[in-house]
Amino acid sequence: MNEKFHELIKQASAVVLDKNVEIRLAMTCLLAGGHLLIEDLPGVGKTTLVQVLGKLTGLKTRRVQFTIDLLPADVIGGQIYHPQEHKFVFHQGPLFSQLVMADELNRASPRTQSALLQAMEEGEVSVEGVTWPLPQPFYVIATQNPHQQTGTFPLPESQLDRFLMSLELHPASKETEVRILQGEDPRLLLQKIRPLFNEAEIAEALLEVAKVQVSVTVAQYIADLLERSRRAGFEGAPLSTRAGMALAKAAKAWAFLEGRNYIRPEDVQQVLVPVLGHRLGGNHGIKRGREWAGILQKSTPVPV
Amino acid sequence: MSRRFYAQKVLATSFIIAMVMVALEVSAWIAAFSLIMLFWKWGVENLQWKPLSRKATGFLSILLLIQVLIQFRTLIGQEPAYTFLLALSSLRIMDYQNDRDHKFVILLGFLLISVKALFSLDIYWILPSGVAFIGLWYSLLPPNLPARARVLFKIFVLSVPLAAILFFAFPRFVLPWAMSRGSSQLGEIGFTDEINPGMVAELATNTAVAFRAKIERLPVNKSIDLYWRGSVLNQSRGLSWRPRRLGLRTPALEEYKNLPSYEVAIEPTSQLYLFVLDGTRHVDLDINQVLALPQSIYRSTRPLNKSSVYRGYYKSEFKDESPPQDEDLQVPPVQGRVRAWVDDILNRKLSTSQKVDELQKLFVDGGFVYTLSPGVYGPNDLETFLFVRKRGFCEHFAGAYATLARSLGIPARVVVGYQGGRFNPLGGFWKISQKDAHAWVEIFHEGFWQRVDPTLWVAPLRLVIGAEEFFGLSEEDQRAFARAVDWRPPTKEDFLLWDEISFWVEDLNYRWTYFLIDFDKTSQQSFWKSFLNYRIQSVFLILAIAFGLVSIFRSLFNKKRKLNEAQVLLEAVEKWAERKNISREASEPPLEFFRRLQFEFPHLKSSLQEIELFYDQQTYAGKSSSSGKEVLRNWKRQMRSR
Repeated sequence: MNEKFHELIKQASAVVLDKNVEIRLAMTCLLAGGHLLIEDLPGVGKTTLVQVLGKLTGLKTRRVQFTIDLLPADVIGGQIYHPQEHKFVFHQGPLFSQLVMADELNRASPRTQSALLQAMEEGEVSVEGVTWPLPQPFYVIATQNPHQQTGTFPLPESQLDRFLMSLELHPASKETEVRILQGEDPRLLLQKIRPLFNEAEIAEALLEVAKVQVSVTVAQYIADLLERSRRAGFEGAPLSTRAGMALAKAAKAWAFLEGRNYIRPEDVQQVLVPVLGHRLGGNHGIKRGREWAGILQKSTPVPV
Repeated sequence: MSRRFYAQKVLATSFIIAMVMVALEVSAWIAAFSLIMLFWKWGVENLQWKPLSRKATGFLSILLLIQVLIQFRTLIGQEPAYTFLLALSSLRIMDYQNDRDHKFVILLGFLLISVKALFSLDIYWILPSGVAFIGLWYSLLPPNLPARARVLFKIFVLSVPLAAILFFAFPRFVLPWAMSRGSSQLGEIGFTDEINPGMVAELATNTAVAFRAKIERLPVNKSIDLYWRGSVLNQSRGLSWRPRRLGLRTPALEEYKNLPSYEVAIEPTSQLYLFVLDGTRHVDLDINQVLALPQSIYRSTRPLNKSSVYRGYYKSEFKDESPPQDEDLQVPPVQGRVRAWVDDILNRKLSTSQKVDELQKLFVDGGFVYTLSPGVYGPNDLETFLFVRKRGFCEHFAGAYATLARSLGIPARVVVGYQGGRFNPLGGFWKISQKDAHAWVEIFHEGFWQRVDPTLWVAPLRLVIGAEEFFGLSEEDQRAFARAVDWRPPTKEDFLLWDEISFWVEDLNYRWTYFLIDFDKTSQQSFWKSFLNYRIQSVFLILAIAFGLVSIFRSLFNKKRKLNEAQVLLEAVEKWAERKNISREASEPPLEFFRRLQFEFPHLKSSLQEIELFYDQQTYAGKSSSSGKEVLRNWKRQMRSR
């Protein structure tokens, strides 16, 4: 099962150059059933990455560009009057797809942001008293610009918590950039990509991930991490139990990709920074949070 | 939860031990009653007999209370209380059904044990008491608590040295109202200040210990030489003798410290006698002052209500040359055949030595029988004893001899005390029991008081082998061998296993009593004094004890995890890597560490991989693999081979 995912990662890496680790983490996030937040400057390949993932997984992908004047109805959809039938009919917004790319999420007004985030948490949307279930699986990959940039509304901590992982996409290395500049536009490559999975296979993989075992030792390790983040003297925001659950979930998905049905502390450490970075950072920004996550990992002994 | 008494073997055994120990001290009827109750309960539990209802046992306990009240006319006092306690215990067993009964029964068990301790602190009873005590505690513990039990055990171990330190260091108070052991009437030493026919014989049937003595450095070392002087009786009534009021003697001025000494450890007594060997010149007793009386008699100034040790200084060549007084010749009028015998000797106008020989002839040839059951004599039944029945015990012979000697004009007096004893080769001490009670005579002849023991002529064997062995023989044998003297004292090879055991237990009891039970203020002071004499050793000892205590404390409160095989492996590899200056960061996962080592030491790769695999499987995959020991062995072998 996991070979196919490795194939996926390989093919995606051919399109989005120099981002192997990030692609793998993004895949991990999807396998763990969580939403992903990507923060970086525009033009480093965020959008391409999401598009590649959408294509390869065969998920129905929609992209929403968030702007300051975007309204919740533009995302969710709304009741529109049908004159022929003399009634209002619900028109699904772009949210009704399996993989939603929320581009530049932090440019939208808090009201629109929260509409999206509610959908992320509950897997359904309510419009004028009627609840509409979202398709399954439902992923949101949001990108955001570093919040020092002008015209942004930083996401509050409670909403940051809804994302399982956050990633930074650094600019590609110089050599890679040279190759990109010489070669063909990766966006053209996108067109050739065919999906590797069908819906059933994705669902099966999610079930497999859920079955991965967590031994006492590793659970202890995660609990130690949580406990240490709450100690006085640690700069980052204290971690909640939900953060610990997210860490375990992500580690499970990572172990699944490794072809194991149990997790090791190594798996936790691999996903530790992406899972905890935005949680620890809070309003100091994801960058600081990632530093603190590194400190947390270094200072927490691995139970033996 | 319903419980069954006999299904709990530890509880049943401990409780029955406790009950039996107390049952031996109370009247037979109550012991029998308890036994019946125990047996009935056994039948109820095992043979489906009809049990007594709670109402019935309640009614029975009221009846028993009334019975005890009628028998003793009070409930206050040891014996009625014990009797009632025993009865109540057996009734509680009958009621035993649930957890509440369980706890109540155990409480009663503890009471029974403490009650027994009031009767006797001998090691013979301390041992079963200890067993019962531990058993009762054990049955209080919930059935499954291995971890807590270990902690309890450690606390117990911890308490032992603390108890020992407290025992030696805790200040002792002399409480005037403290209970004394032994019965208030006679004490352990059933000695009174007079002899009547049969009294010593009665004493001699008692097996209790009177005192123990260490006489290693004295020239006397045979049973036959050991005459323990208790009291001297000067007033004759024929067979019966009484003491005279004695004035104080001025203590011996001579330098007694150079004399060889011996040690006597005497059982608690309400009496004042200090038994000393014939020839003792001085007696030292720790707290109580010693009264030295004329005729080489020693008394303590107050009752020794606990086991005490005193020291006697012995001079073998000592002769009591104090002149006889008029009353040493006073006799009650003798009649009949005794008168005739006395007149016959007196008429022959013999010298004193000849008179003494005549007296000896009377006892040697008289056909006397030495026996514990001589029959009943009146106080002045000389004639019946000497010429008719001729059966007697030492007191009869001594009393008769002294009376006859006085009648012949030889000053004489009866000495009562103990004779001989049983030597314990293990402890190197003599045990003198009540059986060894004896009476002999001193006559003033050739200018000093000399010892004459008529028993020696009648039953020399008694003196040669000691009372305990002698009365261990059958009565026929006693009579048949009484005059035998060529008795070889038993040697080590002659001891049977039983003898060895009895010597051993006796020795243990001796130490128990004198070094533990009666460790009082004086003993404490002398202990610390001697302790400080060995300063260096003491410091070491204290350090060792402190170290032991600290380590027990640490093991008690350090929650050291028990390592599993994977952890043992990791520890072994870490230790090894430490020597190569490679250490694992706390945040480095062990598997990564193993991989790093593989990279650093490619020749160890296979071994390290094996460890890595095992660690991974056991710690993270949760698969129990039994090859951990094997892996460790491989690793160690590889380390050794390099």
